[in-house]
Amino acid sequence: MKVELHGVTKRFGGQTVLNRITSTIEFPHTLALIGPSGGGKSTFLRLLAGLIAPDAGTITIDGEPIPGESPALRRYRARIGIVFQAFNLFPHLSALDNIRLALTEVHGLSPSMATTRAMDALARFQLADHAHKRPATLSGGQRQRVAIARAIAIQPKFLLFDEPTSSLDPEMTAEVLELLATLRSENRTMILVTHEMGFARHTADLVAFISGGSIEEVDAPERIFGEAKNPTVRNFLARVLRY
Amino acid sequence: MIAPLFFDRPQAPSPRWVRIATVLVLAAALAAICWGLLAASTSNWSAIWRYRAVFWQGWLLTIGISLAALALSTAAGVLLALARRSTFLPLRSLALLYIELIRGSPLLVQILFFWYVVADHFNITDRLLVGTLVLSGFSSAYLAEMIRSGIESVGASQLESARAIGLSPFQTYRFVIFPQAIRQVLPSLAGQFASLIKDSSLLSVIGLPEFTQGALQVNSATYSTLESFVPLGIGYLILTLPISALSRLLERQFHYES
Ligand SMILES: Nc1ncnc2c1ncn2[C@@H]1O[C@H](COP(=O)(O)OP(=O)(O)OP(=O)(O)O)[C@@H](O)[C@H]1O
Ligand SMILES: [Mg+2]
Repeated sequence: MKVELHGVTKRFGGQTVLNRITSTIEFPHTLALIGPSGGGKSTFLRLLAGLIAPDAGTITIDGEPIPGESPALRRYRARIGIVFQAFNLFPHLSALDNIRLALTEVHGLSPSMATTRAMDALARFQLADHAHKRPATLSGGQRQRVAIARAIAIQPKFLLFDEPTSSLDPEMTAEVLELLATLRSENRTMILVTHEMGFARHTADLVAFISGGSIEEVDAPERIFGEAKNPTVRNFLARVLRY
Repeated sequence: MIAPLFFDRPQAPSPRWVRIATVLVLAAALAAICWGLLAASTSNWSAIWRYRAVFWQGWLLTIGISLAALALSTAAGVLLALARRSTFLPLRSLALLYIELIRGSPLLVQILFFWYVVADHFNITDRLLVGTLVLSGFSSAYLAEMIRSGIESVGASQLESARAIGLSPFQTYRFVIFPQAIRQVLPSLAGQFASLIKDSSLLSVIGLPEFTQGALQVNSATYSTLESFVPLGIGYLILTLPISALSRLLERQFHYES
């Protein structure tokens, strides 16, 4: 996958969150985004997802610019699987219906095909027994796995994850990371924001460090974690890896 | 000492028998007072019984008007709530103006205005039609605000999820916002039904033969005020008390679900 950024700027109110980023990021399967809190990682991911538009600049993915206007942008979003930190399942729908909704309403599958596809996705992640439960009655780890199943079920071009484990306890985190590792081993294309440094180091093909509204460094994980050139990156890693 | 038993605090609730006894004793005391006050006057229940059909038909009409107004005002309330959230400024301002005018003036004044001024101007003589429409229009302004707050209670992360999976704005309303908002609004909707039943009594001023108008007619025919108006009050309570119980039940259910 190849992400090309040209002069990408994003402001919220008076605050410039991403500042004229120009960069070409190319990686075979997995890109990890790391960096300090408030650095702009989520904003960057939401730009890639087509959920917000840049105030200036263009983003091109595999040679195709992210569309600006509404119907084309919606079609673009529909082809991407997105998993946020938490609360992204619909609370009034069962796990099964959460997955079926996009399949029937956006991707035009028949109800029975949608059910089959959704049940397959749930079964893959050992969630078949929970198909008819509402999110409130699932554990945090199960909820996140359903969210991932929902993202997979649409057969996306690529997957975006924003700190998918940060609201989970260690056991559930392990459960979800294991699932992500499986997806990685299937050579799916994905970009994930994470503060699980060990995970980024061992599963990512490429790591981008985002801080203060710019991409400070992009490199292979062994180089970022071993011999980062940029002092900001070194300081950050020294702090988070101390314990 | 028995007095402490009558203080019902969350950390030290009154025993169940005390609660039941309280209700029974109070009911008996109130009944005794009423009896004492009224026993002296001669009552005329047999005259009232002859007019029972007037009461019955009025009562049914009150239910009918309230149900029709509930349906109409819910539909209008949804549209008004959407208009209130519209990005198209003239539509939003118009909806706000309507809601503020309706909520700012008494229902009685609205009934008089629309019947004696508007309906009269257009030569509309159907009291039932005008009465139901005025009541619906009145209720829709209140429902619009309830529905709007129900819509706004659906969190931003839900809307972002809906966008992320590629739903259009219309689909987002249909599959994500409304199903969640309706749960939130249902208890208030039940409460609004009780209000409609009570408020419909004001339609008696334009001679619509609903329940209150029925009692007024019986009263003027029999000259027995107490016997006309006590059944009137009871007739309304029979409708409103179960509805407010239902409303509380729905509220609790919603509370448990979320
Ligand atoms: N919708 C928004 N409105 C206003 N400000 C925003 C919005 N989204 C993000 N910001 C601001 O932009 C900055 C970057 O936020 P962002 O969420 O991208 O950071 P992040 O790197 O993901 O941080 P974290 O690791 O804490 O999630 C923050 O200062 C944040 O307050
Ligand atoms: Mg973030």
